[in-house]
Amino acid sequence: MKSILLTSLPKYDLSAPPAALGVLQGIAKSNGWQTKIFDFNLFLHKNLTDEEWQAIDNWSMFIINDIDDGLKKKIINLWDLSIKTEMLENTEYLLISVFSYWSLYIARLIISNEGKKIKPYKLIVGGNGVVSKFPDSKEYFEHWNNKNKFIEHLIIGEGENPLVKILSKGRIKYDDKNIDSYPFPSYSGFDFNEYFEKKVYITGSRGCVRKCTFCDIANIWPKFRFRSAESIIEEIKKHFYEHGITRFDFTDSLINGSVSNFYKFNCLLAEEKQKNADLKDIIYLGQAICRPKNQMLEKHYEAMYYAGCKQLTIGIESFSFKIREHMKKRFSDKDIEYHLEQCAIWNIPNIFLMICGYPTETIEDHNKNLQDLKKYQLFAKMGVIEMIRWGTTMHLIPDTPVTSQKSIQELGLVSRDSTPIFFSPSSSYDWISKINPELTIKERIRRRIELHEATTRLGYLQPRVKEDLNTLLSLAKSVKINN
Amino acid sequence: MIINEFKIELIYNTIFDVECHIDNVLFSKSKNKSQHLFKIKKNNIKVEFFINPQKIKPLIRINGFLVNYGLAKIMPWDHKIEMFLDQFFYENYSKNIIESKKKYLGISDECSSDFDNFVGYNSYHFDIVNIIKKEIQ
Repeated sequence: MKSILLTSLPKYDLSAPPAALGVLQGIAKSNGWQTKIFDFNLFLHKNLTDEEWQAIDNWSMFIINDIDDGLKKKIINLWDLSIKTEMLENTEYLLISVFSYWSLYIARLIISNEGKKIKPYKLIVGGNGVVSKFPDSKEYFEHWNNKNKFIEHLIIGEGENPLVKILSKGRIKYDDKNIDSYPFPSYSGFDFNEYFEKKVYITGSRGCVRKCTFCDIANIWPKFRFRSAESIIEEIKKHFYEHGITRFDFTDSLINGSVSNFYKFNCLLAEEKQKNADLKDIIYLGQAICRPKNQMLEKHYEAMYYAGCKQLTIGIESFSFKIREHMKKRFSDKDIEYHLEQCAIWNIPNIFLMICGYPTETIEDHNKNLQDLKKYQLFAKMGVIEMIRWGTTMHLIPDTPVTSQKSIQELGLVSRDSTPIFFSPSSSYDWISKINPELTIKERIRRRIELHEATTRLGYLQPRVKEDLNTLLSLAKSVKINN
Repeated sequence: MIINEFKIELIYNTIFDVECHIDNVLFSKSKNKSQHLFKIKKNNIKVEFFINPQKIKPLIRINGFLVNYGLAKIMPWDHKIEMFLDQFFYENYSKNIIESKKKYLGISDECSSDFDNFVGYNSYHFDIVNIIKKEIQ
């Protein structure tokens, strides 16, 4: 039987098996292929020191432009050794998932190394990262590969149809308009004990119904498509009965993109749990958008409770309506209050994702953030705001609405040394806006620290904040050096 | 955050009766509903809800928050639900959330990196913050 080795590159969280590998393994298995799974992100984390892992973090996020040659050699050696160990004899393909934009530098290192080998297998590479350009060379991944010809099959965009075309030699095709037509993911071959949580990622939809200015999701999925509620529930039951999984984390940009389908999903799942006591412990978590009362009715929150919704991650981004308006978030302060009240009524915890230092953020907007941290403190105490994540400071990503030519001109975005944005990788952090010149990188760091202190003092939970602070420290040092 | 009034709701999917006792004295009765509401303007009290029919475990909301029995230290008996309410209810609930996270995650040391990574309470990190402040001066 022909076989394929599927692996994924850092850097992403280690809490569960990577969804991409589950999805792609599902396709391979449903087409009769023998599969072997290897999570290189997990493997590397286990074989590097904390300092080395932090260095990779800084490198992946373009805080530093390079890592030292010794660490690169170590990564390559670990890769070569593990690929040799993991590969089955009859492996025809090595599939590498480049999870995101943050995986670009490490992908280039690994794939260049693969390109130098004489090997019996062919490379298939795909993932969200391969649609991006390298911040240092400004070269798109695809162009870089066309030049070097390292990868036999580079999959740009969604992987299902290109992969099944390769594996079935063109005989099978799915309907991309109907994502119910894709095979269910498979998580066989993963040791769930290796991960922090026993859970799997599940996808209910692709794309988004918003076009937030800082986000690049529309580049990957220009249209919002969603699965039927029935199909999602069948997949949940599959993973429960095959692996005993009771926790499902949605990968969707938002689980309430179609409010009616989301309500149907919750009602059906609640009914299934009532009918079948086996399923009573099933819970789910996911990202959502804050919607007004006339869109997410009170009964929707009730349905979420009975279905087992245990956490929503909401991109609030700023407590200043003016900032959210510029970001195209489309919800008011009243909508946030309504959402929190309903989540309190039904004990649905939230993670609030926030951005400090958006290009138009004034000191008044920043003070509004500080003010509303106090306003919502009770929700934090009672676990309704289970945690809050401020990240580092506003990071400009290429090919997003806020970094379009029009926006760069309107906002007067330049690097600190007045070169154009993205002329150097550091400009993604170290930028200024000519229409808001007070918001220098130092001022953004200062505000971020002020938010950190207020958030901590008010008793909000901020997991992994030390990582953020260490990144801020690297930023602050690099700003000082460049001064 | 100090509380002076408690609005307590008991909700179940079938009709039931409730007698509310405060410090062993009958305070109020509520009959024949699936949702019962009690407003209590007292503090540092033992509250008992005697329920009929027995063996029901209703949802409980306190001041608009659906609470977890364990975190709110609510004791469910077959015939009654018992709780102690004081002015520091929110603070205590918050502390219990942290404790329960620590237990669930198997973390005993609040100075450990695991506590910081997975709970993140009181994570001032003065050492790093002070260096950052010096760097940006």
